Amino acid sequence: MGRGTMKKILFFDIVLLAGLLLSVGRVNAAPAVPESGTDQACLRCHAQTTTWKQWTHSAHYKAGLTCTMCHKGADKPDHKAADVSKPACTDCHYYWKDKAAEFKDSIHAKKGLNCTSCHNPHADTAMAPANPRQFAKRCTRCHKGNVLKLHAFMPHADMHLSQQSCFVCHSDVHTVLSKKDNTVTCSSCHPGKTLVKKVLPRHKAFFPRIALHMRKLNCEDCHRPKGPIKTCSSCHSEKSILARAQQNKNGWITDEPVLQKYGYMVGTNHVKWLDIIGILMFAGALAVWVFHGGLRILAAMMRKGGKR
Amino acid sequence: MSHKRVYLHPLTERIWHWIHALAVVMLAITGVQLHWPGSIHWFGSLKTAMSIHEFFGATLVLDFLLWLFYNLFSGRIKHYIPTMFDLTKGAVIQAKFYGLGIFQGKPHPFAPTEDNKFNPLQKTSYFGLMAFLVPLLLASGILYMFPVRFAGIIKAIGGMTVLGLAHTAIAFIVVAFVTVHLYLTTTGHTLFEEIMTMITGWKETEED
Repeated sequence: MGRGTMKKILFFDIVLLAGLLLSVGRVNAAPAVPESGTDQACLRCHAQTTTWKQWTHSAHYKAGLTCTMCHKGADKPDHKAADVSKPACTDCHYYWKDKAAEFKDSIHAKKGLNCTSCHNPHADTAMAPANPRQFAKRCTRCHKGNVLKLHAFMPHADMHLSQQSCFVCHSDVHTVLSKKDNTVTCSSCHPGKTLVKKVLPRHKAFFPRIALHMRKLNCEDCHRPKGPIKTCSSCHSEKSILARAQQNKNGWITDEPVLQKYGYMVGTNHVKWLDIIGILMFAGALAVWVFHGGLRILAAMMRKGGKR
Repeated sequence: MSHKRVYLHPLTERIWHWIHALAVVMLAITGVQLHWPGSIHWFGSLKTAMSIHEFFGATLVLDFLLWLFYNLFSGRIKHYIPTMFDLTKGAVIQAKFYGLGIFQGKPHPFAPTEDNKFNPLQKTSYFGLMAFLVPLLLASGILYMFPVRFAGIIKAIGGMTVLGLAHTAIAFIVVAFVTVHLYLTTTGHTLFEEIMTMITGWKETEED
């Protein structure tokens, strides 16, 4: 290889490297500038802001909105912050114009929240993000706690949390009136026998009278959001309301499986005089051992003595 | 005086007897815990005692049926049927023996034979036990185990309280019977002769 050839290769390498560096620089520099005259003008000052960087991924940007469509007064080159208007979301989102009263009554509105407390008009890629868990982060800004841990009571907690938004189960955040107005059951989404069929094999293993329980109970009756899963004795015990109700209705005859299986009711079989008679009978039987046996031994000893 | 061996208890009867014995003892011990669950915890929880009690209860039901059908079809039930003599004169003779003769070293008044293996008091008590007490005890136990299925019957006889009291009362009698029964096994020539007979089936008898 000659000296000239080496120089040529080296020169080529430098050009290539410089090209690469330049192209990387271009990627890092700024998002592609939109073909909008107005926004081109905004970029002169606002290009380095986080808002601008997120903006080009947003649903609003993709829908064709430009800065000045919402921010009136921003088209003046030397505007001050005060000159620029902040639009009302309901100018375009008419639905919430109609529902404004409902939102105002909601606990969230009363706590001082508005649209932009949760929705970022410059960044959101959709009204509700594709990834519900991402969305849940907005709730947990205020509702502190480990979401997964809080939902540990739920079967397939991870699946539910990654596939569903919070308000699929917890009432609509826009209209929820209070903490109490916040109930949902498994059967709201899994009605009737669809869920039962799936959970049946697992429950069958330990549940007596499975069909009856599945018909009468909701999942939440045992799988509680707070605290451990209820056990049989939470409902069925000597002192339970159920047991007492059955007792009053039928005497001691009950169709409750646990009571049926463990039907020996302490106290029903206790009649003091019967216990005394029983104990006396057993004592009498033991007395046969002691006295009759003792006499036999004594008599045998006397007989032996007599023979001698 | 010569010795004669008689075969009193065929294998089926011996197997029946010892299963019966084990089941009755287990039922009695677990029954004590079930009756006084507040102060007696021999088998841990009430549930455990209940499960053991139910298991041996079912065992006893099957064992009772084995006894019943075996004795009915083989004709050996005749051993258990007391005659008028057994119920009157024979019982008195046997009772006199236990009350007096046994202390004087007199021989048993009724030597067992292959055709007649029980003395009059045995016949009477075993008959009463196997024809009345054990069936009643088992029946009340079965009703107790399935109070819903047999709700009608239980109501008819006066409810769970009557059922429970009947079961308990009969159980007390059976426990007392077993205790005396065990004592009477010691009245052979030696202390363990009768028990050995129940194990081997053979008994040595004296012939004058």
